[in-house]
Amino acid sequence: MNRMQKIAWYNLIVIAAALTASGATVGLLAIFLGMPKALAGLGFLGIAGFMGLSPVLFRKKQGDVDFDERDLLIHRKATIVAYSIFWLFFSAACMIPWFLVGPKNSIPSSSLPIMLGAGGITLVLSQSLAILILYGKGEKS
Amino acid sequence: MNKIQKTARFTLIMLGLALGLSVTAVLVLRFAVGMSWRASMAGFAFTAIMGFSRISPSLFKKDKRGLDERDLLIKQKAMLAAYWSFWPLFVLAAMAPFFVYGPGGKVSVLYLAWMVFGGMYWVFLIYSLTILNEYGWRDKDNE
Repeated sequence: MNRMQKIAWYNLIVIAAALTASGATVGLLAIFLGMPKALAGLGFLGIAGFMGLSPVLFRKKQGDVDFDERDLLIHRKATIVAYSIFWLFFSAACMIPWFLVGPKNSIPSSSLPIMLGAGGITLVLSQSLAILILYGKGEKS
Repeated sequence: MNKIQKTARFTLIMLGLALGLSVTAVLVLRFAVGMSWRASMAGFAFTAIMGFSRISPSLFKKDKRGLDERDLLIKQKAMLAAYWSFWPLFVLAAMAPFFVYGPGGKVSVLYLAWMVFGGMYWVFLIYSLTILNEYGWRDKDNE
């Protein structure tokens, strides 16, 4: 497994942990405290910030060539796939409120940073999945 | 000039036409007709011209030689350039209302629609410009 695959696995694990922790907390708080207060559980999405540690955790080995033309091609393809999926998310996130609340109404400004965060997670998630699929999940070399 | 270049050039013309006519229409409605700014925004209906850029596959015939590796690489690079350049704009567009109106403020859903159309415009623009730049603006050897 090369560095790019390791980073992809790491990102997937961090995103899964963040989504599971926040989902479980929101669910539990909703039962005991009710809905508006339960949204505080979304704070666990901050776990996704650990994805930023991947360049430190998986450092490039000096002197080794660990990124050839095939890796570059896979990385490019995965990025294009990720942005294509992100674009669908982005269009839906922008147009669904239009249909839900009507064209003359407004939404809270705090929903835009949430959209940004969800967009970022969608992007990294789909890029990591695409990388693993393009390399072949079972490949060890 | 190959099909990719022709398509990119056609898209750029459509984007320019859409933006030019829209801004002109808004200014005419505001200053010549005397409408309010809000009513003048109807001039942006001309952005629909952007939709014509999608008919380019049927306008330009396929090249006899087809697409080689270089063409595919240029397309990939252009797509990546368009998407990467879009991300900072998305961050800016998402965070600006939060800082301007505060966390308790409200944003019109029209703003979200503008984000989608603005983003689409930007992505098509950068994609087409990168393609023409990668091939070379005056390159005639791509027949």
